[in-house]
Amino acid sequence: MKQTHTRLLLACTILLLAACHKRDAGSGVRPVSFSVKLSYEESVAALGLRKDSALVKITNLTSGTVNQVYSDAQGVANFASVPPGNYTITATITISAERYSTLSGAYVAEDVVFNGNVTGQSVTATVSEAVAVLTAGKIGDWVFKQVYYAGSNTSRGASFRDQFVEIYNNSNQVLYADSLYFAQVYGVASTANNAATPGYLPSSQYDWSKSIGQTATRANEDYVYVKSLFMIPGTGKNHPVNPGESIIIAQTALNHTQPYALSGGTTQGITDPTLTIDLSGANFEGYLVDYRRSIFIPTTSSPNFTPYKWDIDNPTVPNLKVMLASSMQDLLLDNLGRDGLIIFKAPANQDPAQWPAYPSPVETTVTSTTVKYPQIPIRHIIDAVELQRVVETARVPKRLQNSLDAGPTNVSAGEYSSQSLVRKTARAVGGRKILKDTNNSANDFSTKSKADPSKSASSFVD
Amino acid sequence: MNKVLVCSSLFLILSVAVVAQRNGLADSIYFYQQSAAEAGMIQHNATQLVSSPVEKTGYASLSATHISGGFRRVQQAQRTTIADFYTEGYSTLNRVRIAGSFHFNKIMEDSLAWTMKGLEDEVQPYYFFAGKAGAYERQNYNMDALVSYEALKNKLYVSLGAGYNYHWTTRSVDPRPDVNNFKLTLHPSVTYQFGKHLIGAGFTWGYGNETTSITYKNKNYAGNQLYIERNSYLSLGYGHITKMQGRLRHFNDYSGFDASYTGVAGKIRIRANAAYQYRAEEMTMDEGNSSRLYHVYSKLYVQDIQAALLLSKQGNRGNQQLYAKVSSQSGDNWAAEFDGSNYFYLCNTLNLSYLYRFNNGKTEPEIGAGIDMTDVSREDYVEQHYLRNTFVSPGITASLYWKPGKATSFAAAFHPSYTIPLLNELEAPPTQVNVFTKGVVYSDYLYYSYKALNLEARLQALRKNMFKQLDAGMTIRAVWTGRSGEPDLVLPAAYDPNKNRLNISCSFNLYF
Repeated sequence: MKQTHTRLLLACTILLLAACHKRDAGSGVRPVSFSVKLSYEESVAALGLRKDSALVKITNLTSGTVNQVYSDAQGVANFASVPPGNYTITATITISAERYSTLSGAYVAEDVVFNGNVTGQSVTATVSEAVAVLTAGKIGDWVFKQVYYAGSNTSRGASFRDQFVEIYNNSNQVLYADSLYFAQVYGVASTANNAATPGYLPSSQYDWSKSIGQTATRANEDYVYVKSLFMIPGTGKNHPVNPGESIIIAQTALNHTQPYALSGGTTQGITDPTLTIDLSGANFEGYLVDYRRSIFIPTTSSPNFTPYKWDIDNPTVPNLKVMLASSMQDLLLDNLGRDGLIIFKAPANQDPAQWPAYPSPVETTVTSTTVKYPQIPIRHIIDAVELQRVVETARVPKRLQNSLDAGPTNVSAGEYSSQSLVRKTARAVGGRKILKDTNNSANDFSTKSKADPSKSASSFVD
Repeated sequence: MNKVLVCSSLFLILSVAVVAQRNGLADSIYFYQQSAAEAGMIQHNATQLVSSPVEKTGYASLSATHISGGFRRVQQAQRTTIADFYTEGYSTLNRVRIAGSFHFNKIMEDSLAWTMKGLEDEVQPYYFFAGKAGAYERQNYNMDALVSYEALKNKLYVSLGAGYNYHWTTRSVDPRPDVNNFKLTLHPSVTYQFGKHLIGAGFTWGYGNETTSITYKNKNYAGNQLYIERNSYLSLGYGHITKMQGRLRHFNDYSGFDASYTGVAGKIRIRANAAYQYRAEEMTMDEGNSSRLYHVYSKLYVQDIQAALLLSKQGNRGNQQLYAKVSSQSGDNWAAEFDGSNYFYLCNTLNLSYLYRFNNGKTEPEIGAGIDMTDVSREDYVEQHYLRNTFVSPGITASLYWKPGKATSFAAAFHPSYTIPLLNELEAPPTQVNVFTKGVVYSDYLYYSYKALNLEARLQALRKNMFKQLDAGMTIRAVWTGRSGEPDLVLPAAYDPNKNRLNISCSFNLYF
């Protein structure tokens, strides 16, 4: 009997020892070392610009963890230990005006900022290096000063209705806003991995070279494609804007801190006026009812056109000319931040309405109802801002070229927070504020806790 | 399906209870600590069940528990109130022996943060969490039944066991989890008897599932960085996380085998059980609002090994009992994100106790000593997070059983113990520190760094035939745990366990 007991105890002990043995850690997924190699865009690659001390940030798209290091003299940024996964990489380096002038032989008055951005970079045990190309975009006279896309509290505030953008004259001359175009860039608005799907780039963004009828040889590099296109009316000198001053384009140019009548006869109330703003003083507004009516096609279920009840026209504020508004009832910015905004001016002898337009690259046939997205050459774009969602895991593929905006940005609190993005002030010259413009919105903008359409000193951030 | 199972099980359990009535032994079985421990082994194991010299017994208990205090892990509630109903029993009908138990409880928790799990499943790395504390409500229905048939007289017994568990959790603060968990297991076994010895073996098969949905009543909180404590995260290991809400589904398959033995050697009754269980779990995440569109997110593999030994000796001067239990639970995962494993969990425990009760007529003192030891480690490879805690709790027991009359019995027990950390290892590189590190890992480290004094007291009263022929009694139990010492590291933890914690419960018991 004693033998039986001994065997039983022995069996239990063996079972336990087998279980207690710590697993061979080699079979697990381990952190990897990863490096980012910087290179300059082709046009300046031979100048011998320095590559050290560039700030390189990598953001893990699963956890949202951000790590940053400075590059060495060879332009390599080493991250000794990071989890495998997908990352967004941003890099930025500033070359002094004096140094750049000396090396390039072309005089520049301002320091030149080069930015790099790589999205959806896979980091694995076998992929341990990425290359980020540093580019310097065009510095425009017009810049987005303030972007209020987040909106305010959906129940106590004005929700999406109080959005606006503020466009600022960052030059030292009077500029005319007449025929200045404002547009929203069309792009993928989901996080799905479409890299292997026809019509998409490896980044899961649309591959416009695959659009039916596409003729441009650099369809993805030299153009953006817009889902909305608005123009400030005027004959050329109707809307002067002095240096250091701005214009405001509102979705609905009303005082949102007070109740107002909607188009259906009902009243839009407001529970907490402190959450929203007064946009009755805006310079322009988006009023789409006439445009929507002009493209309305009656159907059996909807035989009559019904105006969007929140698209109210303030007769004292001029309306933008609506040239395209695909799938939108008003001048709606995406509250979540899946948007890219541009302003541009067309050459004197060209009409953007006549520029080529293409269907979405995923369309396999074109019918009379297929939406075509106008193709905007990036050489005409004066300023651009790419927005992004707050939550890293919810961010959609980047839609603007790095030369337009190398660093998407967002208000810190996210949607419906009453917060706006305000471009930082670089310096002041004789009372005029010059705003920071490095074509990297992540560096150029900061969050203002409440949107401010007053244009006053309080609307700037230092 | 669920209702049929519930009704069938209830019928079975009530049948047991009814048949088990008027035995007259139940009060003494559950009154003494030693016999209660033996009854606990008998109730849930076929080999132990058929060996029981008692043909029928059972009891039902209605209890209320209140737990509060700051000396707790960060993923425990500050205050917990539990209402329990529990009944168990077994009985004999000719060549059939049948056992069953049913447990229902409702748990109200307050100020619980950093976990939105339903069941407290320590090995489980895949769960939603948020830093926002809130009030939880949980319900559990657990029942099991065991039928054993004597196929060959005094030789062979064939048995079938079944278990059913249902759990539900929700809370009233954004983000709001809604957790529904279900598990069904079957356990066929055979027992062979040779003389005074019985040896049995069986295997387990089961399945279950869990659905966790995270929603926001106030949509303004979802993803809003002004209310960062309300951001919903999904744990993907022990440090690897992602910001996420939505619906996560777990699908479990259980398998395992066990062996048991009972016999008499001289004056010693030996009872021993050993069991191995394997759980393969697959996690899927719904894409959108439809459960038809989903992707496999990860898999979890859990192994449980347990062995228990109970030696009881009844003598003229006193009764002795030695109880030893060892367990080992390990878990690792497969993550689609890496097509590999990033998580490993291992928990080994040892419980050892000895009791001696003096047979001294109306007054029976009992003394004892014991030690509990736990070694638990959690590792996340990709985030390089590692936490290992080893602690030991030696303690002594002093009890007094007093029977002033034939119908009335009283018992009082006092069990002090002291928890001493033996090993605390923490790794979390600064480059990998995230909200989980500060919220959970650092807080866990601090909790396990403290020494703790544990004082447990129990008072029990029992009266025969209080309700016609039913015996009834009351039990009051209190456990106070007080923190002592200081941790060897100062960490920016979200929660530093403080002061003490009190667990007090009161139950009313009926013995069949």
